[in-house]
Amino acid sequence: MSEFEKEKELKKLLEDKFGADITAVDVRRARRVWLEAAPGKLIEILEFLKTAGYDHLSTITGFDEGENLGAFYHATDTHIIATIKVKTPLASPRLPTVTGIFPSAISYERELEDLLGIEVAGLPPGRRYPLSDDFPKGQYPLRKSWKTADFQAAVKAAKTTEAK
Amino acid sequence: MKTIDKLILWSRLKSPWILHFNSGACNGCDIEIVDALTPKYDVERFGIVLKATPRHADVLVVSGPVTLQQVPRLKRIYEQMPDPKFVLAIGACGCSGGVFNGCYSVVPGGLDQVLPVSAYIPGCPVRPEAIIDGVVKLLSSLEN
Repeated sequence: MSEFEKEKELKKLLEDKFGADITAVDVRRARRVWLEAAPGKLIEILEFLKTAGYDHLSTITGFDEGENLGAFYHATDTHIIATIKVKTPLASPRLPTVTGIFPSAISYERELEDLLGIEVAGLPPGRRYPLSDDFPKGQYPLRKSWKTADFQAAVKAAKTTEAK
Repeated sequence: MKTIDKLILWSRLKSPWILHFNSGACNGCDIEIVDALTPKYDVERFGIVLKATPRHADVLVVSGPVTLQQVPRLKRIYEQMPDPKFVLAIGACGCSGGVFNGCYSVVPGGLDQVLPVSAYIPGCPVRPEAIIDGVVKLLSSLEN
């Protein structure tokens, strides 16, 4: 039995199905498969993975690469984790919601909106999570450009207006 | 001092009822607070009783760095307490924000930015002896 047989099987399955739509498909170690896709293809890939047995979205990880924001979607069959990387430009960050396929993704997607400022299109309205209700608007704490000092100044300013 | 005032002060010193409020603490200090209340240290024998409602409490014991979401709730609880009321800041986080100071979800600077604090009890987590010492110092300051 060759090394990473099951992982390579998944890689082939995805490459046959999506061809040029997915890039950088990579098997670097046991039980992990990485791939990259455009935001427009994300839903299709996750739907395909769900029918192929990868029916558990273990988490979504947001990231900030400077010019691009984005997220990793980790779908798993409890043996292998398929990680889909999706990038979106910093100037107008926008990703589609995956709550249609995985309803439990709602909390992860609210975190993407609150902490990284990525607009998640199609996310049902609701209160803020996980930041506080009165957190200053337009501040995204997990962005690399975010500074604690700016935030503390904003909190102070909000306090002064409240006092008035 | 009038006799009635003496009586009130005596009863206040002999039964400071406390309310414990966790505002984003890691639970370390909360365990130590419970430790101070339960049989090993047993401050209940001195009349220090943990109450379930702020309306019965004299001392608000706050652990944790005070998260932004809890600021209005903490203020509401403080306002419900009858006068005279005292606030104890428990642990490094309550005193100054601790390791969480500067984090996006907590008040910069600790509990005294939100409520008037009567006594600070540092430690990470605080030892039960330190909590008892802090309460005793608070009470003896009242006596004078």
